[in-house]
Amino acid sequence: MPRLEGIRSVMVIGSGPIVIGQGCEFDYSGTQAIRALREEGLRVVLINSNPATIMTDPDMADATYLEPLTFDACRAIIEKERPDVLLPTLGGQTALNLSMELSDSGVLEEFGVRLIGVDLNAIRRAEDRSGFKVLCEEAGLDTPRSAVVHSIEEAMHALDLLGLPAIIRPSFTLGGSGSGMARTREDFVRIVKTGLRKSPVHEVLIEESIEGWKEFELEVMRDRDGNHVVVCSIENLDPMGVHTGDSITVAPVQTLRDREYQLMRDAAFSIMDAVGIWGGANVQFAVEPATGRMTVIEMNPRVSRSSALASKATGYPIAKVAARLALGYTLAELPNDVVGTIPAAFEPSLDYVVVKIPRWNFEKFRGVEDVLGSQMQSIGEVMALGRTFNEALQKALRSLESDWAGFDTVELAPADLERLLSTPSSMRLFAVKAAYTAGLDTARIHELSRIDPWFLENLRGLVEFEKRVRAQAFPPTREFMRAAKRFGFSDRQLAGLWGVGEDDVTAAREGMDIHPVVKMVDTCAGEFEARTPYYYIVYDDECDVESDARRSRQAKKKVVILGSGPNRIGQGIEFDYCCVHAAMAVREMGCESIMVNCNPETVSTDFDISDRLYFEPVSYEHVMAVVRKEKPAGVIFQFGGQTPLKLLHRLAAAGVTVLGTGVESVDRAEDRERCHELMNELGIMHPPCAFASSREAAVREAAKIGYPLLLRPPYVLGGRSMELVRSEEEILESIDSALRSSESRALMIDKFIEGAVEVDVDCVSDGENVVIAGVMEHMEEAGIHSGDSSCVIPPLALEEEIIAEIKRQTVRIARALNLVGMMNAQFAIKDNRIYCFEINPRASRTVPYVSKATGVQWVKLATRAIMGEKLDMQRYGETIMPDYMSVKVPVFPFEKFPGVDSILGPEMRSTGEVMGIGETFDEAFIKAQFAAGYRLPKGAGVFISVANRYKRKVIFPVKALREMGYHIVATPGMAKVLRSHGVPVRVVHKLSEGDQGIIDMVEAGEVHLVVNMAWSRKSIEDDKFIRLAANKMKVQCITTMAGFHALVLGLQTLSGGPLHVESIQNYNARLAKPAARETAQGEVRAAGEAA
Amino acid sequence: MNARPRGKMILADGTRYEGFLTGAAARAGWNGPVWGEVVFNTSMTGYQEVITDPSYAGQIVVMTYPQIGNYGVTVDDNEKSATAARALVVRDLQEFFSPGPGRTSLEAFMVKQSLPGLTDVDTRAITRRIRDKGAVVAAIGGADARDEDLLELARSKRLDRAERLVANVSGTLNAVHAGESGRAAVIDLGVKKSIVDNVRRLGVTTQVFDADFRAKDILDGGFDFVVVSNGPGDPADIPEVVEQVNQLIGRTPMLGICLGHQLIACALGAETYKLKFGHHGANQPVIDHRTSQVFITSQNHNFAVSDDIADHAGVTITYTNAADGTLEGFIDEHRKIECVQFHPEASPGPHDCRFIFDRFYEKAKEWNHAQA
Repeated sequence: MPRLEGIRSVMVIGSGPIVIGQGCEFDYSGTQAIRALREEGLRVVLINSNPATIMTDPDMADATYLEPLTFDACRAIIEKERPDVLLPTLGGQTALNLSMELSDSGVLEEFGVRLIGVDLNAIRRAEDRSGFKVLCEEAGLDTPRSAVVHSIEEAMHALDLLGLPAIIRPSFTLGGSGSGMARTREDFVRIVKTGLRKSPVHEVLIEESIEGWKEFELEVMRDRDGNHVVVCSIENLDPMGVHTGDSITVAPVQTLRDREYQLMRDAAFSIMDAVGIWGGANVQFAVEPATGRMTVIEMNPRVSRSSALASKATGYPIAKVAARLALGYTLAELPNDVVGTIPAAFEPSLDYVVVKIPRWNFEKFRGVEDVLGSQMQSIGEVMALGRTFNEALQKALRSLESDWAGFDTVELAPADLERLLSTPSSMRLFAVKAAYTAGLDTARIHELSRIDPWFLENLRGLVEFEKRVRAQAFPPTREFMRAAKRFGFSDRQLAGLWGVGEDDVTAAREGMDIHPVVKMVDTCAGEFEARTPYYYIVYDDECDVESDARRSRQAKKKVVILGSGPNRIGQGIEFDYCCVHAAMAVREMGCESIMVNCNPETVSTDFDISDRLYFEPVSYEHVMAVVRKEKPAGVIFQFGGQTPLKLLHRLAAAGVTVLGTGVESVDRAEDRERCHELMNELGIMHPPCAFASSREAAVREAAKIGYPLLLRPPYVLGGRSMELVRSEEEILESIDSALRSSESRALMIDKFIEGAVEVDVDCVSDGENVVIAGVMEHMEEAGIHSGDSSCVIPPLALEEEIIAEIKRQTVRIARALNLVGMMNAQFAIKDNRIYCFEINPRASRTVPYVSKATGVQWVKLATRAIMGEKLDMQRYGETIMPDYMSVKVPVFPFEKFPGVDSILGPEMRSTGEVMGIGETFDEAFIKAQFAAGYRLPKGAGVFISVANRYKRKVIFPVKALREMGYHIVATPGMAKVLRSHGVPVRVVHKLSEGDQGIIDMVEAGEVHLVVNMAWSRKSIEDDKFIRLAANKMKVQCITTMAGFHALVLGLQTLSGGPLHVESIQNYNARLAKPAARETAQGEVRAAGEAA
Repeated sequence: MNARPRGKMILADGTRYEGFLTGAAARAGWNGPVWGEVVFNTSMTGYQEVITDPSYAGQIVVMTYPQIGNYGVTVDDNEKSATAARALVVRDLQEFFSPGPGRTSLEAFMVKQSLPGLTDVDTRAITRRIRDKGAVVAAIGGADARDEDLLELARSKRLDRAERLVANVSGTLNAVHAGESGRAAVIDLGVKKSIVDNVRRLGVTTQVFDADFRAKDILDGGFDFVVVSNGPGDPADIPEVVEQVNQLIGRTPMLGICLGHQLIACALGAETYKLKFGHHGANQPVIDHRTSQVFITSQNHNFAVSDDIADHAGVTITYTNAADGTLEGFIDEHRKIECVQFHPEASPGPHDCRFIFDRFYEKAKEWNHAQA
């Protein structure tokens, strides 16, 4: 059946910023779907506030709105663009919820927009817990016993029927937010209360506990005629009780008999039919091990994290097919892209095992216990493919970049062992190893962990084999070595066990003629000849690639691009954006791009992006294997963040050609001392700094430099373990833990320039000419990690001469480093003095944002420079200064970590970012605030509590808030100041002193915004409880002066009229045409030509 | 490292794969080597159903999914009480299985069933070889077997009429199963238990006949319909069965499955031919031309019916393989025939087509009614 008639344009809603539970998998799916929709000749209108996405590149959709994902913005876009249809299934829960709102409010009807892909009424049933249960029962399927309640009284009644432990799930929340497992009555009451509050419909589901049951997922496609296929089956290693996003998962299912699996498949189809989806969905099941009883847990009627994983695990492009199914095509009409001769109506057969492991960042959130539950906490994930579970598991562990070489031994206190087995955490896998080592048997470990014995026995196999490795002299026999490699042991891991160098193991292995081979992901287990260049590397006998290469004899120049590995705080989607652009540029230049990465959520691991994709850990052994097989002209290191840079030395030493900035230059920029020497040579000021490797030395050096100071370990990304100290007292408090957290047991002590304005600069160089991509002014004062700062392009308040000087300095540094490619430099400006405090000889986190703001795809330009092209100075010599404002605002995961202080500091903790564009800064900023999820309803209460030094500064913004109708609440001291300026204030005490305290007000929902600015460490500690309360109640907490000012200005702007929306294509079109620019002036350009 | 004895498989074209012997082959006194035609099966679950499916008689089964044995074996999942395949070749035979009601070890089962196995071989390499070069005979032996001898064995053997494949697997299910109403005859050419189960599911009294059945016995038996079962080998090797089937045509409603489908086609005068490497798996997409629906089916066959069958009067092609366009089913309303190449009983594989039994039964009743 051909596609539906009358569709010329389609609106797609993205998922917004990267947050826990909604990561870059939606960029992968969205990008793929948008490409498919455009191939259909449709006009695509996209709204997404996340500038770091590929989908928001101006050449992806026809009209791209980097606008907040709010009802108002969507309505404005619909009114302007008049799309024929809305496809709501590509942007996660965010898009689905927005679509429902648009439908319910009549907006879709008003503008004649049809919804495709799903029937909203059916979705509503599936999304609503009680509706879903009824739906399953109607389909004859078993679900856990449960009750839906709307009050605590109803909940207590339900508890009597269902008993403990019980699971509490609020309806309509993101990523399981607000849900939890209650083992005691106290827990139960607490979680139900929170859940009722979090649920937009004030509803929670209370369920019998199926904790410890086996957990499965099926990724299913269905078309308008009711044909279905299962694309991928997934089994969770972690049984029920751990959110699937936090579980180690394996594809395909491992421990179900065919009969059991087919019943699950039938059940998934029944649900799909009941909901009537045209597209893809994920259905989750639990199976009671002892009885085999199967129950349906939930269904997600859209692309999801699991569907992205399933696509990568099988090679089946779910999002692309789903988009076409939504248009009305049938599965039989669409081709399987991997094997062109068969239709999309096909169930992939795998001849390998896939393991996914989540990546957590607990170390970033002090006060959060590393315990996993029904609320997702991981920031990213890795996937690995192997011929066996063991091989895939060990590859996945290496991919995590947690410094593991495989299934390593982690020291765990024996006393903790049983707790670590029974309480899921990020360390449970290692606890299993420790348990076997300590002599526990599978039965006991299973009893404690409920992990299926099949998984446990395989893990035991690894533990046993490791023992044999240890007992073996080096070098072992060929047979032994071969067995070790087939078990997934890396050379580095074996080297550690044998106490020799990794190079020794590699040399011995190669001497024994044991080499990795390349296998293809072809969806069909080798049955058909596939054409998709998607590969993985294993230690097996036959290599798929050699024979294929012989057939097609490639003459093109090959370039390997190293990806950025799992998303984690400090290294997220921005780097994947860069890698994708680099791959595109390489292909545009007629060369062959070869991507190496292990993150299943990303666009870079879509096999359509590169000529060849190697789904492999970005580690030495695996990258070398790719290089050996492909014999590329060179490797590009600078787009995957710090991950590839860490490999630069060794790969270069092994004879790999480095494309772009070389080893020596990277060293000079990254080594603190050498970097300072460089700046001294260039006459560029940098904050005084010193090294210290002991407590005494630190205090001595600190006194020399003078407080305040920043303490940090050398070589870190995302400001890990970075701390601001203002006095000797504070440094003494911090020094021991700081020294401990530094791998090299040394610390950097930098002068902190109080009150400075920070500036980020991104530039591109071809080795001679340097082009400034963007100069970004941070809104927060120095001291807050650049990744956690809001920033604006063009700079708001910097003087022309300062900007020019910053650019000059950047150019000088780039030149001195012989930079080829991209560089990021960070400056602090105070009293008209410019200090350069950081140089990153690679593409930085801000590159996608700069690209969106300036309308230039800088990574492509940089890639061309890396490939030897000279920069077109005519075109790019003069820095682009748009006549509109672009603001980037970070997004934080605090609401997932209720016990964490939200005050910002030098350690980065944001997971994502949003961008707002407007005619004025205020407009751009408030849009970005909305995009980041902040809301301040009219007439809401605002609580003000700031340190003395800020009291005067907040008077006018507070006054403005009051004039806009907000109610001001303040502590007695603050209230006094405000009243003396004529602001009516309600006084509240911080602590409850008989009277209602601030915490009570926050919890009662009487305060919607907390403005809390602390100064000393003591005041930070003193007010922590207020921020925690705010965080717990999802109340926005502003901790910086700049943020407060901007918010108030933005609110004022907004009260002036309706939200104005504009596509990025239209904004970019306003940038002066390069040809029309004056080319004769510009100091930067002059500097460039002088070279 | 493997504690198992070393072993190898040598194809008739000389390709050699090394691994470790398992199952019956790992036992002292194994009377190897063993030879058979190599086929690969792409089902990710259902290895037990595969090795107990009589249609695999004479074949060395290579599972493309690398880890086999994960969930052990369960008596209920046997398609026949004895294995029919000559050997099982896998990438990684799992020593341990996930416990569950009634589950026991696959390896122990193989020993009990005298099924030799070879593990730790690159099964994808074998699969690609067969895909590119076509089905081939191979021999599996232990480390002490000489390569030349294995090669000679593989070269000298063929799965032909002399192997009496059907005769060897037919007959063990011979029985009458009482039902509520209606009567069905199942001709057992190596029938899978799940076919009999699906017929019984219709509520009919089911009688199973051996491969050496006489058409007269069935016609005299007062059956409402006849199912001609799956089975091993080339339909051209058993003309005597075709002859008997021919006598049934038009006189009773007939459902042909897999080999049964091929035999009925032969009886109608159609040609059959050998596919390059056949269809063996649980993910074969099949299009129903009457509705444009696509079903994911379970399949296991090396031979196929020529499209020319459509030239025979009264025959309509119903199903075609969506991947390679081969014939998957036909119907002849007038002569009361419905045939499918794939396995509507699944086991292993999707249940998408189980409705075929029900629909056929309804139709058979209509046919019989019209007759009467």
